[in-house]
Amino acid sequence: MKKLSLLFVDADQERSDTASEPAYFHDLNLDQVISHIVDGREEYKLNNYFYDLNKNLEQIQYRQEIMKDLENEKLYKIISAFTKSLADFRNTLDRLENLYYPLQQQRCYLELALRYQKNLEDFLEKLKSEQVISVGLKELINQFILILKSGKFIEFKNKTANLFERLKKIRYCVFVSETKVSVRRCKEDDYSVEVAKNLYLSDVPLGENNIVGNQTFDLNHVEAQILEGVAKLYPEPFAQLDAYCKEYMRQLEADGVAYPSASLRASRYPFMDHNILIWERELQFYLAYLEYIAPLKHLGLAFSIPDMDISNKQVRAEQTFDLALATRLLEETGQKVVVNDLSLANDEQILVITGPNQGGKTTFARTFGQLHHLAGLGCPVPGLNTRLGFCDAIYTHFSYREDIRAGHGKLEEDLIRIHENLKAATASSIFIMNELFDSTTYDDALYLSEQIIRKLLAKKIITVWVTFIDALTLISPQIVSLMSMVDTADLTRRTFKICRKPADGLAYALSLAEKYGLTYSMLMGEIDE
Amino acid sequence: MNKISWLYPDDRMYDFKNIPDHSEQLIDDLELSVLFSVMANKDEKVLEAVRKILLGQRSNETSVILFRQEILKDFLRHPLLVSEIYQLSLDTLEAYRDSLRFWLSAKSASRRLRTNVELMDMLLAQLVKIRNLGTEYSNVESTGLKSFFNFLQTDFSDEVLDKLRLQDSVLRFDHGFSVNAKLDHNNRSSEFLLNRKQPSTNWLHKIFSLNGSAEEYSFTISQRDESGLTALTEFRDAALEPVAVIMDVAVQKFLDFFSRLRDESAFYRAALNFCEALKNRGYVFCLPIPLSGQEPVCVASKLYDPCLALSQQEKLILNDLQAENKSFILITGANSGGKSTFLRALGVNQLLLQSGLPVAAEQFTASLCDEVYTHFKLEEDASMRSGKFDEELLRMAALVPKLKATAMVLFNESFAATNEREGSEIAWQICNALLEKGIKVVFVTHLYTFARKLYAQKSPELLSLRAASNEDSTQKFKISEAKPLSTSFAKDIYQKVFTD
Repeated sequence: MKKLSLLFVDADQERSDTASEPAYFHDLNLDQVISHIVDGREEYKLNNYFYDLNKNLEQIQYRQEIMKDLENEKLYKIISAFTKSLADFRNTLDRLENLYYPLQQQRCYLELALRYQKNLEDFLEKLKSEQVISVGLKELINQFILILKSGKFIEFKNKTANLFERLKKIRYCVFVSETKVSVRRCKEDDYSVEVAKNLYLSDVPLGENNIVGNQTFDLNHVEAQILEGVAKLYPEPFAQLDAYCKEYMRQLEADGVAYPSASLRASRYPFMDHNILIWERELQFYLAYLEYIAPLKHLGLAFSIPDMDISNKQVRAEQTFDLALATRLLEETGQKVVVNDLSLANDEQILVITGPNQGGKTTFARTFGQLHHLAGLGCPVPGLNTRLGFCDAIYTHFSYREDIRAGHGKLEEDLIRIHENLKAATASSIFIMNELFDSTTYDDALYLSEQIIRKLLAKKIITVWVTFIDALTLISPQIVSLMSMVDTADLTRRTFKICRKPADGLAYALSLAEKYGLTYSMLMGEIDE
Repeated sequence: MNKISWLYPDDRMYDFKNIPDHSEQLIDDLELSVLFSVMANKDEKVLEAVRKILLGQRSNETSVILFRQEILKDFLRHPLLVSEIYQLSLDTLEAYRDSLRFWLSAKSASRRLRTNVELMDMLLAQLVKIRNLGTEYSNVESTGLKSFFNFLQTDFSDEVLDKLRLQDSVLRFDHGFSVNAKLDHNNRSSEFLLNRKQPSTNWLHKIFSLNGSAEEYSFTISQRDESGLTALTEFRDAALEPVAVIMDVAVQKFLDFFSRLRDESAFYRAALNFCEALKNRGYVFCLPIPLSGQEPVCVASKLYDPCLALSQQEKLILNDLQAENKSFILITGANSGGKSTFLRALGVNQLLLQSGLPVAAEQFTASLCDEVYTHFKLEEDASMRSGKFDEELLRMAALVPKLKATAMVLFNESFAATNEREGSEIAWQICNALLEKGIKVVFVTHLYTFARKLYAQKSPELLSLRAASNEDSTQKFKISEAKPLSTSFAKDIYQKVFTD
């Protein structure tokens, strides 16, 4: 059986090193997105899987296929339910380890084994009934079939079922008088049926709540002694149970063995299949992402698996949006984020965005970066009809106004970083520049920007550039001018729409001034001599 | 036992909690609270019961209405019978509430079981008292009461009661208890079944002497082992839970029986109070005749609004009505000419009829409708004119989804909170639709344009009534068939007031 990985075409490609967050994560708010995605799945330790861009297209497509399969909601639910049940087994195992009465512990192990077997079988049955196209999931089914057909598994199953039946048949009588309790063998008898009948309650449903109160695992004192009595009355099945647990439930590992994730620790039980646990963890990558975007989809936001192309540098996404912002808006206000179209066609290479403050410019720039990162992971991305070039690296240069390092030092640092990044970048890299050089004079900023833009153009690097300098849009025909828009009826209201439009920052400022009575003529008229 | 009913001749299920949500509106518009308080005669339980039944248990089946009328006739002959049953039900429920005080916090199966076994003894004793009333009043004639007593005499015969009392004594478990059990998925004892043979003083001896040979494991919890004793209590509760549940249900069923009996006997007491009050004020009343046919009929003589009659000293004018195959009754005419009163009289009596109660008329024959809705103009309104009109339309819009062809809608000066033309047009639009749908409508209006247009249509289903003008004092508050007039005689009133 060839080793199967559901994340990597070649299972050995997985690196076990602890990768760290890419430098651009914070700028693009991807740190928020990823921590949200992996939230609640700590036992799988998924973060690393979301850090690295895939180095080749084959790898991306391998994952895209699986994502596409999982867009089938039924399949998604099947796999999700399966991994939840495995997690549940792990929790149960942890609790069982601490049980005080061995007779009870053994029985609980038996029940767990029974559920485990049934779960694997159900899962395979359901999986087979769905149409699966991806190479990864197809191979998963094959390998599952082999596991369940193996002699080892079948023997385990038979032993479990046999024991279960024997224990189920036991019935005994408990007699309580004052503080004395006696246990003996007996047959079934039920007086309460007669009681109910006498009270004309035969047809009335009496509820199933026969087990009331004590729902925990722990047996109390009396229950435990009754159990011991039963074990003495029926010795053989209990001896068999003991042998069974020694074979399947004794933990193998010594403490201190390092597992890549907490979920994999369960493989120390002989009956647990190690490979299944590994696949489960890998599947979490897909489930976590899809679960994260599900509420946004439900809200009516579009996602699509991008069409990736190495040769062509076309970029296109309709109704796309910033994932981090969309999630925050949904959680805080239940509102849907404003979507935008984005495209670069033919020779277009640099998007320069101007327009009023708080109009969605930075959001748009982030969106652009997020799209490329998520696509590089093999995930569906925000937007419809998405088409992206293969991207080998993302470089971001954000200027934060609240940055306390002022003046010269900072400018120099920025330039050094840009210089380094430009050297490392290839034609497949992308740059995202956000309000750079805001602490220099206008002329300086214009000059610096123009120089860098020329370098970017020369290296054919796709770039998004957010700025207040309108003139940047005129440097080259390969530059597309975008503007953040305002409501034409109420100029103080932002629409958060970013549209292709020649930069005309002044018009907006004038009308805004008019609204507040601050234009020249108005001030002239208003101010008394 | 909870199928036996004084409201319905068949075994149907019904819930006193079901009260249509427009009921509050009905109470306000038709001033039903006067009616309720007279019927209750200061007894809160009666008030509650008559409210629930009149608002939520009206019927559109003649068989149900006649069933109730028959029972009422029995009680008119034997007013003491209904009082005794009502009092016995009250006492029973009271005794139950007293017993609650002592075990409010006790949720454990064994304590619940013990309390319930004792309650059951009390409940059976009360049931016998009611059963025995059947022998005392053996000459009741209604199917309802006959089958009620018959049920008690069969299902709770002396023989049955002996069996139940014996059972109660076993379930006290004075000498310990015996159950059989299985191991559940945690190897905890579960699926407890009660053994038929329970230990008694004698039997206790036997089990140890005679069955000494049977293989057995015993252990005893020391009196000083506190956690052990707690564990034993837990076990006892788990083991007795199934039978405790049965007794919970049984007691609940008996309580339900008694509380229903309390409500239903209260309802008939309310009817007796109502008749009494009308009689004292010198008004006529009668048991109405319900009609099951499709054709809308409402024929009445000496009809009046009981709510108004019971709340004012001045004697009311009684009206006759002859509306056969008329689904739409349009009422126009003089200001304070008794239009609204007449409208209310029709509404209240319809409710009384369909509850199985006597009505405020000398004779009253009417077809049945599924539901009665009201749409009254707001008497007082602080808001702006247009806001008020919006509100009226909003209320109408909320009503529309509920309407069925078999409904009845009472309009009182609706859609007048705007100018005449607009109001008329809207009223006309709405009413034309209702008319076509065959919904029963009674519409009081000043909107002349609307009334005239409706009248001109010469629809055979329309009955146009007019309140007489104030001029003729003998005719005051008289309503009779006539075409709408363009005046509501406001001028008359004006001139009367501005005499100078």
